[in-house]
Amino acid sequence: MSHVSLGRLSNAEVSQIPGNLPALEDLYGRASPKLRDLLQNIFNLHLLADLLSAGAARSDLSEITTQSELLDSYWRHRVRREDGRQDDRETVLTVIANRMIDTQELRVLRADVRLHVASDALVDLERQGILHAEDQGGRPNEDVLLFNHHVLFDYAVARLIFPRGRQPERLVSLLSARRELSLMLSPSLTLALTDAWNVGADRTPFWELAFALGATSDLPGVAQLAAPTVVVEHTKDLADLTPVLECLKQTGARRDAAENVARNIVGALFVRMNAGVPLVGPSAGPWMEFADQLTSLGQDRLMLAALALIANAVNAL
Amino acid sequence: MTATPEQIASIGHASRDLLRFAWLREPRSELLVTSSLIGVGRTFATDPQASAALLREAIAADHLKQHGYKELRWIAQEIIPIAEANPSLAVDIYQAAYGFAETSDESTPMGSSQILSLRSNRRQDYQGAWYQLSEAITRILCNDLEAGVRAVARSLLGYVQRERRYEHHSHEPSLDTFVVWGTANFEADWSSSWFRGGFQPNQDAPVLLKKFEDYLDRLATQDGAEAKFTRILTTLANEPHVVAAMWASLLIAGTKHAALYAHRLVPLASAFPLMLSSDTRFQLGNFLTAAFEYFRESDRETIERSILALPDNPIGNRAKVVLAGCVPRALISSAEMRTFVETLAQGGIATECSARAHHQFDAGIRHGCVSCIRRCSADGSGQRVAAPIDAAGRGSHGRQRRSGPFARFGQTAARRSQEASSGADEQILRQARGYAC
Repeated sequence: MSHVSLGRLSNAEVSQIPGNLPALEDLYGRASPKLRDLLQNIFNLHLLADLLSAGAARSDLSEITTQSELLDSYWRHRVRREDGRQDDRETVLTVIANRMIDTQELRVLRADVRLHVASDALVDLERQGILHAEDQGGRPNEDVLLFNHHVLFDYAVARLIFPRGRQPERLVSLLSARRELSLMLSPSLTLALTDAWNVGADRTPFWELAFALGATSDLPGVAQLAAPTVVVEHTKDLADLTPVLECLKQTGARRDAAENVARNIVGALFVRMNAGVPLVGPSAGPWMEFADQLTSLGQDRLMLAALALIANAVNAL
Repeated sequence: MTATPEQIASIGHASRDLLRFAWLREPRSELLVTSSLIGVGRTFATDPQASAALLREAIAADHLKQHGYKELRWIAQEIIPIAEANPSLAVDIYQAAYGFAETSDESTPMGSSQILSLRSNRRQDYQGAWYQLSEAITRILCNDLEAGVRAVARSLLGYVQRERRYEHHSHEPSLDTFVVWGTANFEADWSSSWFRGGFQPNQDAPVLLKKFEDYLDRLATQDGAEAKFTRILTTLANEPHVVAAMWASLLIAGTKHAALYAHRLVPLASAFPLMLSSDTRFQLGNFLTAAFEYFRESDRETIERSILALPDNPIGNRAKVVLAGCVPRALISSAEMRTFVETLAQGGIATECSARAHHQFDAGIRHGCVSCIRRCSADGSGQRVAAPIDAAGRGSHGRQRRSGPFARFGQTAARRSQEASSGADEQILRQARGYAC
């Protein structure tokens, strides 16, 4: 087996690709910086090109800024569609994803699923490029099915097993019951959280899920850090953090959950900082304001968390 | 990446909250305290008033005694931004830091390495803060001259009060005032012994004094040196306590750069406390020798009359003879001074201005040996000679007071005094005998 490692595409490389696809060239020309950044990932570029060739409206696509939104768009065009068979197709994908989770393998035997699903929906998904047969020595092995890309598996789980984070109890129960899945399902959890983050001005679904995860002390660290990581990635100003700051002023279990989330946000910031993203600077985000808010609460564990941020920032002054 | 002003403001506010919390927290977390202190210092300008209030708590006497060895160095580390935002606080930090000395040798951790676990002690840790403050003082002097001068003056005062509280010579001023554009203060400090005697401490506030003198030396080559020197004088004149060593430093600068500073230092050159104190008399004498040619005629007369007006007591009379000897003969302006010097010469009491003579004088005062103070040669040449000083600072005549070589001098002086013709001369020689015997 050979592996080819593909890094992020350079701007020059991305600009070469649309030449063969005028619609992509046009979209790329009008794309926001965030979308351009997204398209430096060759898989995302492939998804977008696929959507364009499927006739998706360029105006809709140009609004995309996150991978979650890109996948949602892809899902609507390739899985749900408007032919009234979306439930059959999603049932197929749910069965396959569950089977993969149970076996902890990203492959499934066609024989194990075909008895539980509509065969035509399964075939349809293969034709749409969501699923494909395993490659065996250059020839397809029809007995084994795979998702076309592991990101599609991640998104299928986020959408069908985690219902995009809209049912926190169910999601937390699954992760608590099967702690060993946390690593495998971590990308799906992040996609579900990202999807929830983009819902509503107050992001209620996201924070409900974040606090549910924060309140569960027996979850593995990777699951505890998922929501804070999304917060760190997507927060633009202090108002985005109002729910957690408000919860910290309350008492009871919800406050304790918020405290865990706040402390893990600090942890996620350090992970990001170690990857080269500074804590301060014009585009660094409202993290010093956040630390300031934490210290104003005068609570021991929050003080220590804020201290880590402040001490680090002071060193950079 | 550079923090934005808003981010710096947040860091400052958070640091202050953290420090308040850290001081109240039980058990105390050194990491919390020190990190917060650094934050408060580095973001001082974000809220000078609130930051100053916190740092003043940190330098309060009781707090400093209890936690100074752990905290002061972190404040000292940030003294430059503090001085830029609040010079008055910086001065208070220097004053507090040098007003107390940690003496405990109790072991303290040095770093947190589990592999190479080094230890220090409370005294060394506290002295580390002194080192940082001394390293910063030159920059503070350059950035804010008045604050820097006050910081040095108050630090030295603290040092003298801690370490150099000795009984003073009778008739020498311990506390006194003189006029420099107002009333200036003078406190004897024994710096003739601990700073001007050859050895200079390499720790504590004397290091600041050394850096202050270095600064004065460099200042002479800079634009606006005279104006800055005047500001230094004005600042010191307004200080409630100024130890002798500070005034001596100005006189040394005046000696080295007489053409530049001579006329600025006229008030010091005619100040009784500086003339009488063994902590400043030597520097004043040297200054007179170097600077007299640059004085105006009227200033020369003022200085000469001041010398002659020194009090009629052993110290005053001795200082009168020494300082008169420092005035270049050819430049003497007043008839009174000329008469005084000539009379001394006729009486066999030659005047001389030299380091050795001054030290001899001071050593004599210190251990009470008049013949060590100064004597005339017995050969009648009028050439004054100084008895050698041993390692303990005593003259070769030990504690002789009125016998041996001195007695010979007394006889010579008495014989010559008989030859003096006028009543005024007799008065001068009587005083000179007071000086000599």
